[in-house]
Amino acid sequence: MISLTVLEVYSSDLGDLNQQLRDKAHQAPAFFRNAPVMLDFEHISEEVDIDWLDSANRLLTGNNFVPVGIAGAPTSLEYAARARGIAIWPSSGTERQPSEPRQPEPEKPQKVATPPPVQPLTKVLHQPVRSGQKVYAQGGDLIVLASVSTGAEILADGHIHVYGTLRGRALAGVQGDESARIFCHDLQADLVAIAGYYMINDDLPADKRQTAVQIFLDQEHLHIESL
Amino acid sequence: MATVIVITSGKGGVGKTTTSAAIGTGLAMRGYKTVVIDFDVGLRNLDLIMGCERRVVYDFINVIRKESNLNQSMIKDKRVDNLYILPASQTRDKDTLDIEGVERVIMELSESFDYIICDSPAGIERGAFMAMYFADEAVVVTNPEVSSVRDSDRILGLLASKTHRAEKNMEPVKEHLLLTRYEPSRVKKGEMLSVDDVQEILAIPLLGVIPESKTVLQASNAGNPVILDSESSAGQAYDDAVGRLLGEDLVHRFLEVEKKGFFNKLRLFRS
Repeated sequence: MISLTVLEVYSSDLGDLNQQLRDKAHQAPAFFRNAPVMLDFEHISEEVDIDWLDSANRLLTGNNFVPVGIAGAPTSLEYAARARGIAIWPSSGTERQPSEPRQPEPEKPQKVATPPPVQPLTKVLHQPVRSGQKVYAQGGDLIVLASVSTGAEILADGHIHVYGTLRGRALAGVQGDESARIFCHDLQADLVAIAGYYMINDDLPADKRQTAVQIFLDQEHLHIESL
Repeated sequence: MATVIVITSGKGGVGKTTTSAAIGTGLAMRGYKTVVIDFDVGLRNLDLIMGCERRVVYDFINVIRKESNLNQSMIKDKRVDNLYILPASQTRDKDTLDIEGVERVIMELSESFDYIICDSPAGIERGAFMAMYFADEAVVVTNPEVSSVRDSDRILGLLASKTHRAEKNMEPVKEHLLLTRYEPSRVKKGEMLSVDDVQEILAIPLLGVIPESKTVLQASNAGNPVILDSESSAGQAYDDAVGRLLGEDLVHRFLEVEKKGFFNKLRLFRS
């Protein structure tokens, strides 16, 4: 069984669509990243053409969704879409007439045709992470209830918490999440990085070494603040 | 059923073979039937340290390849009852070790021995991997020196993941820290890592601290495991370590700079 997200389009306002896609993706980034999305035109009264569809698909990919086709579109749009190699899914209702007068329902950008999104899994480690070991918490946060040795690497798509001494490398937000943070009880890291922006041990501020800190990204700079 | 103990470190030259000889001898002296196996194929040293280099006929590789049996290959120690040595091959290399062969030998030894001590070679390759694979317990030999500590940390990671116990989700290998070549005077001056420094990084229970001692070199040269030298501080420290391995609660000695007593000073003047 494959899960597919259906996006019911009620308005042709692309700006609105983009904002709502962004909000939705933000709600559960791990769940919706690369999620296949089908556009359902069943409920839209306005005419939309293939150029609109192209723009809409670009918005989808821009927000890390994957457009996988359309449904409930007027025949003209279907024809053009087919020509472009865009998949046509069977619609739930009868074929729509473009001139049908209809009161658009209050904006409800999508209906999830799947069980509610699962909370991203957090990886919890109870043993020290030894030199040479590499741990990756995919799709969530990483919590280490021990120390991380020099020469070890810990990575997470989300945040990293080390309730011990961090001596190795810690890379948070490895899939690009710039809001990811790193927290540790004792900062002695070889290297810290958030969404690709990194700082090596040599560049760590002297007054923050060996103290409890949080590290976050602000305007492409790593900030290290005491906890 | 024997307890398999691997003596490992990662770093070379820290005292694995010295420790294997000492611990093996110590256990045998306490009445346990013990065999010490040298896994350093091609660079064997255990036979030298234990003083049986002139009595090697067959070796561990011969047994693995079924060219000889255990009884023909094991060397019985002349000084201590219950103590046997299985030397490594000197002419072959590590590639001749295979895991099924190692398992077979260890299973066979398990039937009649109480302790099987595996003297691991340095590094994290085949020989070291084979030596630790079937271990129930591990003594991680570390010098109070930064590269040794990091390498020991690496080994601890491997012990937690690349052993039979780890792969079969059994109870993990019991880890012990043995700090060797410790010099309290240098620690006091801040030149050398202290026991606490090392423990902070490695975070495993401390089995013992063996002080730097000239007697270790003398013991190697003579082919007498240093634990047999009861006057030596290193020998005594090894003896304590064996006790702790068997569950005894012993205070750690040789951690502080020895204060020269009043009478010691007098003796200097007289001579």
